[in-house]
Amino acid sequence: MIPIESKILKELKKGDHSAFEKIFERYSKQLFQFSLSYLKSEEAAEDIVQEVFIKIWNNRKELKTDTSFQSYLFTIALNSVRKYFNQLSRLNELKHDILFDSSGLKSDFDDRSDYQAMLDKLEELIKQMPEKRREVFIKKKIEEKSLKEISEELNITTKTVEYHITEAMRFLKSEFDKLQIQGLIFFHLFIG
Amino acid sequence: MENKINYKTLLDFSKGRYSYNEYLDIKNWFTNVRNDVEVEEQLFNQWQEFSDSTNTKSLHSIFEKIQYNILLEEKKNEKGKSIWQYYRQVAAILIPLIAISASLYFFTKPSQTTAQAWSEINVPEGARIEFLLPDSTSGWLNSGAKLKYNAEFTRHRKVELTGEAFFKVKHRENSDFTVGVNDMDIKVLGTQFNVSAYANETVTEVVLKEGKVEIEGKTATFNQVLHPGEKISYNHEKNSLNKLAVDANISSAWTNGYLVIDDEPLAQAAKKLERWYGVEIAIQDEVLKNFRFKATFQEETLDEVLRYIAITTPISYKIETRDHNSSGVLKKKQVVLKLKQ
Repeated sequence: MIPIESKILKELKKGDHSAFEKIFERYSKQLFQFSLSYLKSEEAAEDIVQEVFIKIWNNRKELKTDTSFQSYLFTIALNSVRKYFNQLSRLNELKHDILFDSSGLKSDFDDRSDYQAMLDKLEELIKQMPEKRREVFIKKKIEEKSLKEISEELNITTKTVEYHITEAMRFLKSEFDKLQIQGLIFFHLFIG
Repeated sequence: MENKINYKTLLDFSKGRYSYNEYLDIKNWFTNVRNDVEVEEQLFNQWQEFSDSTNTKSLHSIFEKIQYNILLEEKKNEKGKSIWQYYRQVAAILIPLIAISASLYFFTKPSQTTAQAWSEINVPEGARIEFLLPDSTSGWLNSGAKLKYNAEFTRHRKVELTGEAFFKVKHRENSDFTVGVNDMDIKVLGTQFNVSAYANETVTEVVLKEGKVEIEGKTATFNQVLHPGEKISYNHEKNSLNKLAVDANISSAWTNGYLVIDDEPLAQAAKKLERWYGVEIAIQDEVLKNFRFKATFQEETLDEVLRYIAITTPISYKIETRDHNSSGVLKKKQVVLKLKQ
């Protein structure tokens, strides 16, 4: 692909909005895909696109039109990706805990190369839960709220909260067991 | 933790083939401040491979968010030096004037002047006129348009247009009909089509509803045949020609009293409103010009239209009091659009 012309960069420096839009059209998808491939979250990738381009606009006056815009963009992008790795780190730990508890695979769990497939499956299974159960489950396991908090928020007893969580975990376990028996989650799925 | 990532690990991870431990390695690399240049170079290579990402969903909504945020930021920084307070005071005094001047819109009447054999129809700003030519060709002229024609139509029927018009050309054996605008000639047989060629616009548009027309550039050398449902846009500043499929009914909806804004940027929509209502619209914030919106109005007053825009977009409006020019004539009504605070 042809790099963006220095003419457009010069216009951007002057604060030209349509030059800015051209640059966005030209590079936003690349930035989105790169961020997505490392952060595995569309939401985070979208946030990065927004954050990086706002930075580009705010620093437009210092933009160097003679050096590679690609490298410049990459540097800003990399910094944002770093930041989001940190931000998503807790969420990823929590998801790991859920998977570890419900997968039934213990000894080599953390070395299995199909981790992403399990994450995707987890998302899918959570979506399949009845609405109330899903709500309770997410509040407890992802938002790390206490039984008491959840019972107050949803106006249900703590016993009911516990019941939903037990059922949700049982559901996940049985689904992951089924997949294992069928051999559906395995590294070889990705080959070819 | 020992850093053991290599290009393969990066590649596998980015493609979704990784274990939790590999995720931890990658995360550690990214979150570690002192990381090695080698991995960064490998990442840069990967980054460049993404430069042809085209199969992604449109990110335009993010662009709109960005513009919105930029704008809010700029507004915040500008606070204090606003001239709006001044205007507010002036408005309080001059509001009664607006009421009087509203009736002056239609002050100018369409004039018909005859210069030799040429006749001319002039449409005042804010009005739309239905016309009938001597050969039974009929149509509509939109606000501010001007149509010149020769009263004695012969073998070659020729009219000249500035502004927007919708033509229903009467088919006649052995007689062609040409609409000339500043940058092109549109040759037709019996057909229905819409032309928009305002003098202050860089783009001329022709939309064909029925039949067939042939378009020939005056300054640039292009020759295009248009089929029903096609639109041709010619930018005579950039000398660029664009042809695409459209709903021809939308472009001629104005002849039925509809003002249609079809997912257009505000800058373009404002021009339509200016002509439709014979007002001048100033867009205070540059970024607003790219806000797109969609609406159809019928017989709404300017005020109702502006109110609708203000409800559905982050835009607020203000109708300024009307000034007199040096010769004492009231200037057009001024509308100012700006970002909602």
